[in-house]
Amino acid sequence: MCNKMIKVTCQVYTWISDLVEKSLFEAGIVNYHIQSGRNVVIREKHYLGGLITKTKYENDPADIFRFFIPFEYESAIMNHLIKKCEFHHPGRGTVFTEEVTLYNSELLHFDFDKLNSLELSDDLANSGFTGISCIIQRGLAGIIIKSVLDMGFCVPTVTYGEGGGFREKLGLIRVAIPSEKEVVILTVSKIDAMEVMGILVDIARLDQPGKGFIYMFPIRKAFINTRLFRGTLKQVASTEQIIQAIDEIKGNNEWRRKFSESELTKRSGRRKYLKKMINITVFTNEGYIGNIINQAMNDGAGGATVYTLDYKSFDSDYKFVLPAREMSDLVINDNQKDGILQSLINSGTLTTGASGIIETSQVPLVCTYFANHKR
Amino acid sequence: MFTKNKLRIKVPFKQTLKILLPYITSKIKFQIKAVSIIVLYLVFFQIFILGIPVQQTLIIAGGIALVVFGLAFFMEGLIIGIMPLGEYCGKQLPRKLHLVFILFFAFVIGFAATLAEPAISVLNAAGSSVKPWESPLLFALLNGYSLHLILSICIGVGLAVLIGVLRFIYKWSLKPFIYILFPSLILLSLYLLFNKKLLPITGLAWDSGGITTGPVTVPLIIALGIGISRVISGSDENASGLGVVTLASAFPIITVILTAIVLAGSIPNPAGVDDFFLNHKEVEKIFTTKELYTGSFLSHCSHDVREEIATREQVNQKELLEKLIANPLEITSYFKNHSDFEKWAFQDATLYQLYTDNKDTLTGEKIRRNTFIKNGLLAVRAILPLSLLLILLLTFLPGGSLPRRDEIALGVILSIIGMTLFNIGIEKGLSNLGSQVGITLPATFKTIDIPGEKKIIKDFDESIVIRSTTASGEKKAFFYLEEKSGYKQIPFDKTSFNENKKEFIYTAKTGPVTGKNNSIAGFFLLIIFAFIMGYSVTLAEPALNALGITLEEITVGTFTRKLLIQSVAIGVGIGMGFGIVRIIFDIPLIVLLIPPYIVLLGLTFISEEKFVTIAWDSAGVTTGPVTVPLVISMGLGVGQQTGVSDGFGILALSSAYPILTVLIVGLFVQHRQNVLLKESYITNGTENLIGEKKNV
Repeated sequence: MCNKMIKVTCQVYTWISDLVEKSLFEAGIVNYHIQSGRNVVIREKHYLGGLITKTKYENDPADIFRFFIPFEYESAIMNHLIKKCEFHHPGRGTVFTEEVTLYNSELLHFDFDKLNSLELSDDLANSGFTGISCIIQRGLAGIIIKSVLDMGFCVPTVTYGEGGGFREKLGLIRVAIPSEKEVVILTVSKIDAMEVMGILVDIARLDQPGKGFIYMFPIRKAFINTRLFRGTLKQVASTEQIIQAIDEIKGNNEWRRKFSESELTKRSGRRKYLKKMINITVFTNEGYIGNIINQAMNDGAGGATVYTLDYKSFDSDYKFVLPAREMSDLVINDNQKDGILQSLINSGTLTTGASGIIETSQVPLVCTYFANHKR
Repeated sequence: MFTKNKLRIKVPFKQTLKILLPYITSKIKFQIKAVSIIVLYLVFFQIFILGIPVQQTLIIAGGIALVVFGLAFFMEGLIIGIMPLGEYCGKQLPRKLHLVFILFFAFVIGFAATLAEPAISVLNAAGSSVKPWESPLLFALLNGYSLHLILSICIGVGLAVLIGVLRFIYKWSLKPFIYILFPSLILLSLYLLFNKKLLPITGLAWDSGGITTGPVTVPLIIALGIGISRVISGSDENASGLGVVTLASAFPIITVILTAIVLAGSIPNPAGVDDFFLNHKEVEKIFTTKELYTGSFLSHCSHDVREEIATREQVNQKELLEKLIANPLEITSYFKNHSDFEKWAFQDATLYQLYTDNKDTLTGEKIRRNTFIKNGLLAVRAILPLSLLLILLLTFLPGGSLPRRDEIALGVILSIIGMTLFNIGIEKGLSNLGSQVGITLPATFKTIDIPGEKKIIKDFDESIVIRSTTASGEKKAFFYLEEKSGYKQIPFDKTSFNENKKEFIYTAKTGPVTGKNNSIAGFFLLIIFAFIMGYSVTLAEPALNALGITLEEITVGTFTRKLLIQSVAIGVGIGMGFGIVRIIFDIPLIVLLIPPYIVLLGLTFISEEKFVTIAWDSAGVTTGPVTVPLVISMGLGVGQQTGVSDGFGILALSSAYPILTVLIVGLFVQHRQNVLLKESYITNGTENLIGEKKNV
């Protein structure tokens, strides 16, 4: 019933989406979820012959593909996607994999003929990245996006979600508290991750009550979009291409760390993080997630973020999985895991009606405001 | 779908205030921003450009405050209650019901929504100065045959929703609908152009398309569509949930024109006033009531004809006037406005005597209806039946459920309160201000009387009058009047001089602002005014805001509410400019509608489906409860001064141009994406970094 698998997340500009779908079909991935989002990059514009330079943040529509594959196909799929969708051209998208434990993985099926026929070659994707996910009130993500871009960490992908949790426990007065959230997903270098997280916590004051929630998630392999700057090109190769090339040569991205070792040790330990947490992600048919999340929160989960997704399948066998799906993230303590999982199953997540998939993964670091931090 | 929480936290009163206050203030601030531009602009224009003081300032200020609060409540109600209700319904219907039932309910929802929204009152206002003998068919549809008009609009919208849902289910593109519907609409209107009796219907038909899609219907239908298309096809572009509003703006035009063509046979032909009332027995039918018919022929026919018809209809004029003096409230059931009543009463010596003797009772008593109850009832009618229909549908549908009941109930109540408040506010504030500006607006290009600025000079001595002449030898007369600012020349007109009382009554005149009558600069100023007014009034439109929020949500912030509202507002401005041109020069509406629609069809052809649906839908959304009264009062005001009888057509024009602007914005976005796609192919030579041949 529970299975260790690889979750592949592919964040691309919408004009690449068709290509991604095509290559998924070729690779034998039969079903996947798509979420709408946007990518933000910097554009520098020059006016009056270069006298005035203005920096703009450009938002472009993006699609986030999520699908699961067995461990042994990880490299093959990554290589296939990177080649077919030409991710090596900066400015197309990011793709990364995570290790997850799946419940109800029977819903997934694959075209193994196609999967096995994928050619095997050296890994094109790098290890050495870490994901950071930051959930913040709708409309306030700008400050995070700007600082991530200004410091040149990565291209942030932003999605919309709805927060559950504390708000649902209030009476009707909850309508006065906005539940709309903005979620910023970052893929940064492993070595910088701690520091990036610290900076974001400071900037968005995430350790203050009601400000938001940030957590780190481990990434196994990634190929990331390095084009976070648009403007005129003055060299034969763009900076992004040079970075890509050196990453390629070195096989990692340690050479471009932004913070020195001593700086890191100096700063760490100042902030309180929650460590060794678990992220439970639930995918269900639309209309079921509300009940399930509420039940989980009654059973001890702290809060949840709900997203709407689309489900696509090249296989017509599974009619009960609706094209309209919902997904929810619950970050909980390690010791709550079994209780919450039981609660999710009890509230009907795995029934045919909900056609749910439960996924758990490690979250090494979380920062938010917890009332019991106060002495 | 959220079950009751076991752990409900009780919030103390102080904390509640702490949560509520910033929430409420932020909503109100937003509306103040939205409304302030139009108000400041109108006041600025009236005072500084036209140089005429604003009257009834206190009432107007109060009205505008009500608009702000009303809009804040209404928008919140839409977001908390009405839109989720539509979306839940859209998501559950296709799963639980057979296609035939879905289509049936779609038709009922469209029909009921239109029946509930008081569109007809708006059309009535636009046609309030239509003269029955000039365009009897138009008059009939607005009055005696108004049920035919309402039903034809309702059927049109019902069909539109039905076909819109079918479109989602079968994932049809919107483009073919546009290619078929709008050219055929234009052909139909061209047919009307050559039929004198049917021609006046064009404006009514095109406007009813825009008006029917009101502030409750639109957000609800859009939410419903998004729900349905999500369940059926996920993120499929052709079925992103938009497009029903476009159909709902087009179908009523067809049904109204067809109704008019069918009815045309039984309606009298246009004729001179006297002939019209004398010859046609069936004239009475085109009026809503016999009383209004009586009032109409009494005030408009010449003396002899009036007597003749009065005898025929057994109306004793003296008795009637006595009855009205005894009960002044009844005047409105006979005469549409007080000047018609006066016109009748002044035409006969005995009646005039009777009128002047009782002048105080007739004009002194202000006839007031209870506006609060009236507007409250309208709001309840517009919102409650429709929401109840959906709530019942969700509750009693086998396997259906109504999530978040408390929020939806709160939303419905908030939107009813909000709609009541802003309807009153618009009537007393914005519309009032708008019609003041509308009447004085022609001062940009010609001399007009300042309404309400009647002055009496007592002990007037005729010997101070000075004779003068024009270059062509026409004799004129004027006198000097001393005012604070200096001496002013007032033209002397014998009819304004009462020799017995030695009183001279004159109306202050103003304009033209540009110095010369009918100057090009004056017209230009007027068109610029119309543009800015169209632009700023659109910013406050609640249905457009709702569409903006929905779009921002669907596109995860890449197509922002601001971008949509700005581009639509500019489009409305341009349309309004053309609308004013139509009214000043009395150009047939269809002549002004054809060029933009031809361009639109071309742009639609080269645009992506996504932007096509957004653009055409926003056209239906633009003309809502804030725009319509202001536009109509402006149109009528200008029309009165320039002698055009109806204010129709501006709305149709201001629906056409936003499509154009939004499509152009869409094309820009499309172009940018193509550039970015190409940019991401830049490689270092023919070999890319991975070392493989690139296949372009």
